[in-house]
Amino acid sequence: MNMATKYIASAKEMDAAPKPDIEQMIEEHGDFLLRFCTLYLKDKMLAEDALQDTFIRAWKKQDTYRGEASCRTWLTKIALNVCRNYLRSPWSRRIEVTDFWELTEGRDGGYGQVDSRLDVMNAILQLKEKYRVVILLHYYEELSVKEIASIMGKKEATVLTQLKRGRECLHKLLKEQA
Amino acid sequence: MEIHEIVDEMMEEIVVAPELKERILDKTVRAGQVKKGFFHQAGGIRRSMVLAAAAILFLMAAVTVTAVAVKRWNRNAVKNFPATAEQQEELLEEGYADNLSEREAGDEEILSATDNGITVSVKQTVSDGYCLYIYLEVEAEDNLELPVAMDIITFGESDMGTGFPWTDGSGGSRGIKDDPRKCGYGWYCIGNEQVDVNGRMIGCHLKDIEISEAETGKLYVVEGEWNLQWSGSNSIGEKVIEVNKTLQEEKGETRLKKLYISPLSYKLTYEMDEGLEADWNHEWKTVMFHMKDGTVFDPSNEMRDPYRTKKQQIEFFGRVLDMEEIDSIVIGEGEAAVEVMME
Repeated sequence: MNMATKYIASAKEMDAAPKPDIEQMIEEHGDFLLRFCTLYLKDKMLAEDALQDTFIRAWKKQDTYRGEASCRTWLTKIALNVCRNYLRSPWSRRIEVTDFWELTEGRDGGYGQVDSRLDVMNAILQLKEKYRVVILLHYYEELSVKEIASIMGKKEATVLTQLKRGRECLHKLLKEQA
Repeated sequence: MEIHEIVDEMMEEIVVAPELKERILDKTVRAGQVKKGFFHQAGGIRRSMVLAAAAILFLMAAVTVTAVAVKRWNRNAVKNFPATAEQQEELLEEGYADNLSEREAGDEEILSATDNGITVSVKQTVSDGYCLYIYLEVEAEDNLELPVAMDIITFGESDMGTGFPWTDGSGGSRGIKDDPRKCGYGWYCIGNEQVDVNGRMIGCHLKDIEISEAETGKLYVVEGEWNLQWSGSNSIGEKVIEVNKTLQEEKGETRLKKLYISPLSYKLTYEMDEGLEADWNHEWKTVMFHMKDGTVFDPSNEMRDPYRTKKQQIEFFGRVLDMEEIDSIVIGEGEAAVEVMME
């Protein structure tokens, strides 16, 4: 009929796709997503709310999950949108946490010898939102530039530039901390 | 050691607590059972009470709507470009905002165009003298078999005849969750010089829409051409502050000249030392707005980069800033930072 119609998957394919199991998804990806949301939002309580909203959305949209992308990527995209909405809300408070221990409620026991790792965490927290999110998606979630561009609705060139600047800022921050 | 290893190791105590897991399961897999059980147990009287309460709430809402006929932005656009009800009304009255979804197309205006089963409509604009935000909605015909839910990545080719030369889209699928065949798309345009679009026809030529299937990220291209045009509206008034201070940085000096502020954007003009000019594209100035309530608004925290040249830097807030509530503006970082009081 027209160009748009030739790209769709058939209803049969959709029915055949495995449907996600929420409990299993929480077991497999919950910790990862909670860490991602915590670093993105810089607030542990807000991150727990975001995680809950992510799984509620995933539950509501489960019929549309076709298993073509990895479950973790699918959930990350939902979590990313939830977090973005939280940060964009006119009622959201600006969170200025730059100290990792403040974020994790001061649990610093046992990490005395891992200063360089702590520096990395503090540097990530100090990155601006737009750099923090691409750095987390690329180096923590290990998504490709193309995948990040797709889930963020940005051009690949924009993601590449933001990754480059994010890396530069990270290096600068780590150098300052050293 | 890789970043993902560092994060996992350092955050090993950040895990989904059993209570959180239970809460999520209650609101998802167990939610249907809970709702059903409630009405079963509620019986006649409690059920009637619930229905009566709902009727009262509905009546109250209806009375409120009748009594206060307030002007609003397009409701999906607000989810993409946050503004309180008060700010929406104020910006509509002052000419910064135009809700095109609420009005009929005038002479020569084309607010909606259809090709290849896809309709693109302009719904809302928000603009000052330096920045223009356009909110478009893309809708597929009912009988068209598009991906189940869509996100717009970009328009393959686009020519935004707005007078604001620098443009960038900001993704789609904002706020139209209930309808998978509809998708919103915000477009940010920034100009070098002040632009007055009042009464001018803004043209927008779009060719081929790239769609990402929301759930899988799989890319599709819908071929077609969509031409929209509408009579522009913006407010070009802004507050001008003579800064006249010097930002002393490691690589050289930047002489800050003027700061133009509107509720939607700021423009900072300056002169840089030659050493800084060489790297101007990467060395933008941090500009932070300290508000009277003690909060700090950092426009660069939004998802867009500032637009800058060797002489000026412009940043679109992507939201509405209450100018009356600005206490001071801090330009630059660390010890070199310069503070400008809002007069």
